[in-house]
Amino acid sequence: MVKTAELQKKAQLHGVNFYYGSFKALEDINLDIEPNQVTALIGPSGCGKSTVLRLMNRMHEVMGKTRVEGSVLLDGKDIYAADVDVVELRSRVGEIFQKPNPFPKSIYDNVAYGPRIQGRRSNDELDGIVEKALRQAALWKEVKNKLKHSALELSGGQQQRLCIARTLAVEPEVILMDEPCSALDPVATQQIEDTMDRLKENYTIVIVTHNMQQAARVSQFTGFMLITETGEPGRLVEYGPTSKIFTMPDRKETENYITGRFG
Amino acid sequence: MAGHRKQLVYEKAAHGLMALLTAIAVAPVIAIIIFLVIKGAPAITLEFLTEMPRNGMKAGGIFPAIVGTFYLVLGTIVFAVPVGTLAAVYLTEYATQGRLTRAIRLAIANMAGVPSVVYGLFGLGLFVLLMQFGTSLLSGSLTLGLLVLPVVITAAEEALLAVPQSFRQASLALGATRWQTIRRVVLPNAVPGIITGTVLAVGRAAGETAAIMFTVAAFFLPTLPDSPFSQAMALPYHLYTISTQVPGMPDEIKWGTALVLLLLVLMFTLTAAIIRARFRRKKRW
Amino acid sequence: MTRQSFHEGLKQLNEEILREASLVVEAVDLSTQALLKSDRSLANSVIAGDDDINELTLRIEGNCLALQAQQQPVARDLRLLHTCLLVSLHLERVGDLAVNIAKIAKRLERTEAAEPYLELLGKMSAQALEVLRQGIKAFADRDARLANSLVEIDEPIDEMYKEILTRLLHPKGELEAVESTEWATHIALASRYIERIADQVVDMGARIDFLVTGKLDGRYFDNEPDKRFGE
Repeated sequence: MVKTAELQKKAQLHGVNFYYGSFKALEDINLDIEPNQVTALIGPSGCGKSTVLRLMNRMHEVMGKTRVEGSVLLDGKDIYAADVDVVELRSRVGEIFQKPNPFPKSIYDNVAYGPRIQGRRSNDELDGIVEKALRQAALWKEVKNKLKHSALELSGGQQQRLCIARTLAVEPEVILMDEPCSALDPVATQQIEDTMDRLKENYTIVIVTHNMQQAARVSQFTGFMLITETGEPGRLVEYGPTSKIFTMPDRKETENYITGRFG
Repeated sequence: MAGHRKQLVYEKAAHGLMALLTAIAVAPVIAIIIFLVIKGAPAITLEFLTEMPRNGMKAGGIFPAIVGTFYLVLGTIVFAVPVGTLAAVYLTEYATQGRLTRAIRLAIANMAGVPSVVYGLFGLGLFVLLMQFGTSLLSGSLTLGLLVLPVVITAAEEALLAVPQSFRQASLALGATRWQTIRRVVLPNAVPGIITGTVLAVGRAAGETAAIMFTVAAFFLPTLPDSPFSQAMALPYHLYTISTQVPGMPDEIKWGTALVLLLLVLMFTLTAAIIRARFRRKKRW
Repeated sequence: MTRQSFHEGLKQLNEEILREASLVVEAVDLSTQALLKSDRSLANSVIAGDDDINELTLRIEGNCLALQAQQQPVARDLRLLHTCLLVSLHLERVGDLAVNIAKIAKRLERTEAAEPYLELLGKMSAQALEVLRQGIKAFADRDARLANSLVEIDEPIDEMYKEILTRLLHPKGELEAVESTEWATHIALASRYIERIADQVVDMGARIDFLVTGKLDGRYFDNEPDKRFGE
């Protein structure tokens, strides 16, 4: 029987260990992702934040021999169970990458890519989906008159918002963002942060960022990860409401990191 | 600073030496072209290109050889391109990289080094005799196809690997299967490279003599080939025979045929270069 | 507009301060009325109402802290958060002073000798209420000039305070003879509380000036103890 309180969590990691080949990259990760909130993962480079992110859409399986111990639940169900269709999982849990990666197609075709994969063909239907996604990503006004232009003509911030629209078009429930602003200038970063803030109303967002101030600004929950030394697995040191983490964290390591006394 | 001046002298010397060596390398190619043009141009007339040979091929045209080469090239493409592309797709997108894939790639590289006469004999044994296709366009195309397969596979692999991994990741993250990703994102962006490779391969196939000698080529046919099972004449073989088997062959005709063959190959190479250049301008990732 | 949720947070904070201010104005008004009319129930309502003010102050403090921790405010946003925190604390002090006045209202004996003092206290408190209202207006409008003029509206209160104390300590004539020290103590304390209310507002005004001009100086810390007793 799943406890009622657990039912309210969008995603959960219980006692997760993760291996790249024989190397243990993560140890004993326990994490609850609240629905319709922005959860941020912070920590120094190499601590495994992106790895934790990819546990949730199983994208690590694309990158070589990996092994997961423990359970990763989405709406209470284990996503690593034998009967789970990983392709379908990825349409429920989308990912935005660090460097904007629109396809070398038109803006329209980029956003319509996901729905077309799912079998939608009617132009009217696609038109509607494309517009809705672009509006949600706050990009519609800027591109509505050049939908057939190549996506590569857009600026970095616009391309990233296009990638967000592309993900929204498949109507995921969770959106994973791996340092989505690190390749962008401050103005574009601000646009993405505002978009994230609005999107959380309808989606659950998990973001990895090496920028602590960004985590403080955009998230409602923050997790701090650490590796003690190279070769050791990454661990989740502390997790809680962002306002608490940034005013009175429980762990000294967390405080040392966010106050810049780290290393 | 004597050391500095010495370096400058070395720089100039190296520069000059490399320019000289480049000239030496390029010169023979240019020389051949010029030679052929001078010797063969007089023979090139409309009649030469469109008429059947007469008088024991000492007069008339080389039309059937041109047609035969055309069909062979077509057949080679039909066989080698799909097979080669899909093999490349398997090797780069599906197969787990390891000892087996390394071995396969080694085998492919070796295939590229096998002499064409060996391919010819192999084709004779397998297609002409064992599978009983006889000397035909089919046998010839299959043999030539095998010959150029390594080139096509290598070019296709290169093109596929040049497509950034980020596109694949983006597609998979959207809930696409691997095949959907290949079909909709990877292959379309690899096509220019594949085409270029194909055209280069085809250019080579068009000029092959040994591979077609035992599998398709005929000395003389009064009619044009009308089915895949027909025999055919082909330019390279035709050039060989009129140069060695026919006494009293006018020089003009020999040089003219050689020139036509050369121009054909050059045309393919030029086309490949143009395609490559056009797509390089469009590629912006 | 970018950083929507941050700016809404700031707007909310501003509204909370204004709500605290209106609660405090009401407390001061009612407490002085209670004093002048010796109305016990009114006094009790002021004392009870202080809980709301304290709760609001705590919430404001928490919000200021969270906004500073999470939003990295700079320039006018930073000055605003800094000022809101201090203004809220000044208001909370004023609320406490109103409670003190209300407690005195419950204890004061209405003797004939007290009446002239109560009249003065009435004038003082009316003026103090005016200073408070002007101070809140200066915050709401971000009006530095008004904020800096508060010290002038405060002067009559200081004068009246001095007068009350002088007369209590040096009674002239029989009518003003002090019969018992108890009510005199209450009167003295009440007038001190009213004078302190006005002082808190003046200090608040200095903070509002900082909000607008960004100038940090030591005028909050002036106590001028010597001037008080005519020395």
